Amino acid sequence: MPAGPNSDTWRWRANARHYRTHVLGDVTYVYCHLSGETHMLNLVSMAMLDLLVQRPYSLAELADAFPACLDVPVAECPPAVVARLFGELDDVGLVERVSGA
Amino acid sequence: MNEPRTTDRVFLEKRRQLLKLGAAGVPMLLTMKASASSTAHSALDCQITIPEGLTILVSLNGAAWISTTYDYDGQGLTSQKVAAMQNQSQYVLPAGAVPERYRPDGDCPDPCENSGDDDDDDDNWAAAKKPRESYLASLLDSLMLSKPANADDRSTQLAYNWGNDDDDDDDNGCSTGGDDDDDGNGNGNGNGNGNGNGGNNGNHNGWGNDDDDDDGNSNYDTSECEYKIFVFDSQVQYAPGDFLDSSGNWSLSGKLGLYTIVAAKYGQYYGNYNSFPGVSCLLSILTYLNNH
Repeated sequence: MPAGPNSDTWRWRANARHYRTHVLGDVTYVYCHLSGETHMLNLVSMAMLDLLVQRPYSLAELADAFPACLDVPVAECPPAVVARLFGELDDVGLVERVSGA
Repeated sequence: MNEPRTTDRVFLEKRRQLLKLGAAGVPMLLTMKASASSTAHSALDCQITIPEGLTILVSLNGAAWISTTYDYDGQGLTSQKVAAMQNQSQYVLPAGAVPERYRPDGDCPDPCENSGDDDDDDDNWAAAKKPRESYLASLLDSLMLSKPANADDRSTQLAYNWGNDDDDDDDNGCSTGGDDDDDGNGNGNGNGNGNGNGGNNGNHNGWGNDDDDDDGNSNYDTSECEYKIFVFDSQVQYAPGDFLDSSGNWSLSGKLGLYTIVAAKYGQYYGNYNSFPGVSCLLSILTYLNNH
């Protein structure tokens, strides 16, 4: 299985059982049980985390869905930005892969 | 009535501003650090939580089986326990994945020592008589040699059982379990169990894995020296980045070192597939190191 972790066909989700959240103004503090770390998420990254809790997304699906989730046009939230935001969540282990070829 | 709309507009504007910042490369997520004096870098500082009871079985050739469900009793390895552990393993790494320092030494005790009379006239069993460099080498020698069959009739039926040999035969592979008169009927007395070898029942070509419960040495099980097992008795949390020195070189030791290696190898082979515990953390570290 030589595929890398960023294949477009892979689908990802966030498992809300793996972390606890505490909202303080525009910032949400996310304590991850798996890593033992606390992350500070702004409105945008928290919106993506919430979206990934609802159901698994591939990166392409996420790029389609996330602008609508934020209620902004795609031009203001292009796929590259979505991918970068997703990468940040992935880097700290807040998302996990659930399926894909 | 207008308040929600105002709030929505404010939030929307904030999101737009944040997205602009995000597009410019400003992080949307920060990881808190215990020390305010050090730079937060989640890629290097991520932690791995090893589940309680996680077990790593390492074979002579460096393959590894990892299970979070196998309940090792700590009473030593047997072929049955090895098979059970392998059946329950959720993750498997191929040969060579584990460095030699974590592998078993393969130095099995000679099952043929004190196995009875040996009249020193049986050249076929040189492997059993010469000092052994390693158990595997001698085992290979014994397989390569013309191995006399058992007096047991079943051995004839299984004479060409190439591959796995799971039968409970009496063949202990020892050179001279008692008198070796080459008539196929001799009963060995050396260890009280060895049946007579020799005879003309054909070659018993048990190539491959020979997992039989040899009655010839009923207590002889090489699993203890062919496999090594590592058990994490309790949940462990650690930062693999702690094993990195200032030059970015790994200095791995102990069980945590093994786990780090196994997780990294798993990530190397399979990526995030099947959610190996901690693989995301290792991948982030390795990605960071590769990029810097």
